[in-house]
Amino acid sequence: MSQYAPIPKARPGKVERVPMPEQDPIERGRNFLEVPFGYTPEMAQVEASRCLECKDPSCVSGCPVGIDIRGFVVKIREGDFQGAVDIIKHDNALPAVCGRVCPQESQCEQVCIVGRKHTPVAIGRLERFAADWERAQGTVAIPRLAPATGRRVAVVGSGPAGLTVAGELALRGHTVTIFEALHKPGGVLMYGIPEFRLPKDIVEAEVDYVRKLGVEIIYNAVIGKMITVQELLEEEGFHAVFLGLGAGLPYFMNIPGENLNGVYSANEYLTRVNLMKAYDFPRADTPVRPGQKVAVFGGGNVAMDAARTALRMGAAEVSIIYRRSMEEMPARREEIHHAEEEGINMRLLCNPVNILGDEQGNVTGVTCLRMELGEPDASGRRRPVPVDGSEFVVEADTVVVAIGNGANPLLTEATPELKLNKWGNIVADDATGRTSMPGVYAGGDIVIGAATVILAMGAGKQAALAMHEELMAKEMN
Amino acid sequence: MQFATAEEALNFAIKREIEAARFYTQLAARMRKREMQEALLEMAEEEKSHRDRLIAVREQGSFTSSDQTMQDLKVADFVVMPEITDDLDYAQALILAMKREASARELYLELARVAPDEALRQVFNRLAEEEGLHKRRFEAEYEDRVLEGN
Amino acid sequence: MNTIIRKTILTPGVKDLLVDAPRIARKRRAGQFIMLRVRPEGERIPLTIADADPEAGWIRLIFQEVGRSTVELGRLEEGDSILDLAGPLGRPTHIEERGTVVCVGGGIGTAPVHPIAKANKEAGNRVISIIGARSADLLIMEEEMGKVSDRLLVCTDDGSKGIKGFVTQVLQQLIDEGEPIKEVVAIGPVVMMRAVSEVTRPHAIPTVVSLNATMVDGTGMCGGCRVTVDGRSRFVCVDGPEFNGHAVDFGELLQRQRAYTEQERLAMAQDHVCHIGRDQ
Repeated sequence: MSQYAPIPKARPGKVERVPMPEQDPIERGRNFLEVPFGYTPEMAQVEASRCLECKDPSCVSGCPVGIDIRGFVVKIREGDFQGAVDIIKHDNALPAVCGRVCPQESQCEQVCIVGRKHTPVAIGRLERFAADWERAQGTVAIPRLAPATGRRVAVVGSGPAGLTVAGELALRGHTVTIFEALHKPGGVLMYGIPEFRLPKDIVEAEVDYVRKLGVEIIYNAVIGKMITVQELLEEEGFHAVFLGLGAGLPYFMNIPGENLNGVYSANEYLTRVNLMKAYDFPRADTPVRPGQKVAVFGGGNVAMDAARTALRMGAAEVSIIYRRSMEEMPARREEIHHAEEEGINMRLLCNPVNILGDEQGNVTGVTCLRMELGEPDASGRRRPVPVDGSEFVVEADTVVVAIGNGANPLLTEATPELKLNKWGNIVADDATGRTSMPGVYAGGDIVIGAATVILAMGAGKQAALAMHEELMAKEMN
Repeated sequence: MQFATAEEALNFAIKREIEAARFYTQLAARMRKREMQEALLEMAEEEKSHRDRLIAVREQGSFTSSDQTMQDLKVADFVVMPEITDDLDYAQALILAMKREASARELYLELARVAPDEALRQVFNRLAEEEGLHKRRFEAEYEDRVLEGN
Repeated sequence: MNTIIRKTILTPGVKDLLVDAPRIARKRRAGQFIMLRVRPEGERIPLTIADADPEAGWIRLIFQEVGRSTVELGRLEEGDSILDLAGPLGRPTHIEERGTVVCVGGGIGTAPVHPIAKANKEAGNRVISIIGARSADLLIMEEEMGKVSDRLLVCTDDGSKGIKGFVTQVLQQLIDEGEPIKEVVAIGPVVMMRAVSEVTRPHAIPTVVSLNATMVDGTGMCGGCRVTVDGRSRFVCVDGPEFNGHAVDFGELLQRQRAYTEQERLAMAQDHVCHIGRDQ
């Protein structure tokens, strides 16, 4: 029970956004602890008091899963933190995750009315606060499940999309089994996003919540190999299948030298460190080559994660090499800012064209070309073009290629009934996630290409609703 | 290769577009994945529409100007050409296509260089520009997806 | 599940486990592998499924103790469980009725060659098998290979058993004898597979090798196992593990296999166990 008394709404614009206390940039470059410490209850209440509590809140429309944002923010102001969590969990089963990794600045916070004249309400930080507070109490409320329907659903993948579908269907009384290919749950939440942005014990706790709803998770289950999708429906007794496979195929640049020792895809680099705990080698068995001079190709969140991880693994110099300009970098501004504070070099308008190595096949550097923004095309967009004769070499003993991910073909190749697009993504209905295969739904990165955790969750929610409808309409046999 | 008139030059170019369409159609038949067959057949269709455009130019006697920028993105210059097998993925198909357009452009620029008169030189330069536009179209698609995070 | 039903020591440093894994056993085809972990801090490593019984529900793993993970695996006893086991992974061997097929196993490579020889025999091919090791005490599965081959040739580097020489020499002899070889399958150390491919290349005999690359996930997600085949990057875990021996860039593969030698030394030093039979 919270002992915090309600505080009054602040007068519009009278209270500045409450700053988030963070680890010192240089110090945090040596540890894997979270960078922002999180709001205290007092800070959270003050931040929540900045909310205008609009009658017609626009923030809700900015949220891909439609959380009643005004509702939970008011509860925080009132000191009813459990009430806030309950409201969030009505629409979002992973609030501790989303509070940390959602790009709120381009979603709910972007349309916040307070943001028109002042800094928007820090919705993401408040969501994180509420989730963390509940976890700290030690008791996580489990909502009442609907009566058992007798329908069984197979969910392939325990990433954000799969966890969301599983949770939503379990609440509605269905029996759900998640099949996860790796030995740990969470998908990209576990292997991709580093400890200092999303602590793994939080991921475990969020997964645990889904398990407490009655969802079974089977690990080391590679669907498409050990069991096929067809077998799940025809032999294993499942009435529907959801595919939340993620974007699990690393893109390489197709330039010479990409197979030299010390060149990693971001997936490999991050998996070794985050999932296999290579930062703890030799206590943990999986190694990663300790780079002193690390070059990371790419400008998205994954590239920032890889660069900041390399720093924490002890690199003396870490560079981001990105073909375009700062304005076009897809990473969250906050993460770019954190990376710069930590001392990561941003080599922008810089294109890697050749990776160099020594006689033993180890990386020694990257030949780069300077880029400039070219003439606008018919749509007004200016693409980067190389500046002739501007070649220079960036020294590096480790290269991480973090340019993006495509669709892993392992399951789709074993499931010919699934219609794919030319990039290998599963073709699925926008609103329902239905695929060309009866009883099979899909959502998240495997459908839309590499995107965000929250979009995967949004797709999971929609699919779950559509699946529920179809399941209840079917006769039980 | 000797060309006496603009018409001869255009006929040569039209033949090349037809060959290109055939190349993609044959490649499509080799693909194991259905979606790759479809994608390559689409590329064949694009070559056919280039052919049609050039036929129209030959009929009208002049090129219509394009409002697109012709600036060279040079993505083709730095990517490694894939070996052709029956399980190409779409990124590789794009690399294949952009490099083919790059060679075609080089060919026309060379023909322009050795052209016997101004009229022919102009025709070849315009043809080179057309190939440059096609190359850019493939490079842009590659850049938007494979290099999306870069 | 994942319990060790039977443990046998084949030679010093080479162990043979029967593991209870019904779902994997049912689905497994020759040529496929599994990924396993022995302990929570352990690495994920690939091992070829040497054999499987779909009815009894077991798979057979034969491995050499060359590093931390395999040593730890070797310490498990009957009744112990393997912490994580995932499979079957990789593309199965392509078996077809061709005529005469030569199966070559070098050292520990004989274990994964055995199911391929067996499948070839069952498909109606005439199977000639060549198995080789440094010395007689390092030869494995001789009797079992004999059962699935029409002709079995054994060789040792030091001549302690069978023909004195390398498997490549024996293969060359078969070619010289005029055997109508339609395909060669070779599994063993990388240098051996490369050498076999060079023997068959001038005679244009289709040659299949099974590559052993460092893997992390084993499902195509990380690209750590990439090799260049026909000038293109392939992932051993999803496109392989078998590839056309004449198209593999073996030099690059050898280089990539050395990427973690420093770390491997460190890890083994931690354990105070000596390397036995390291054949890389």
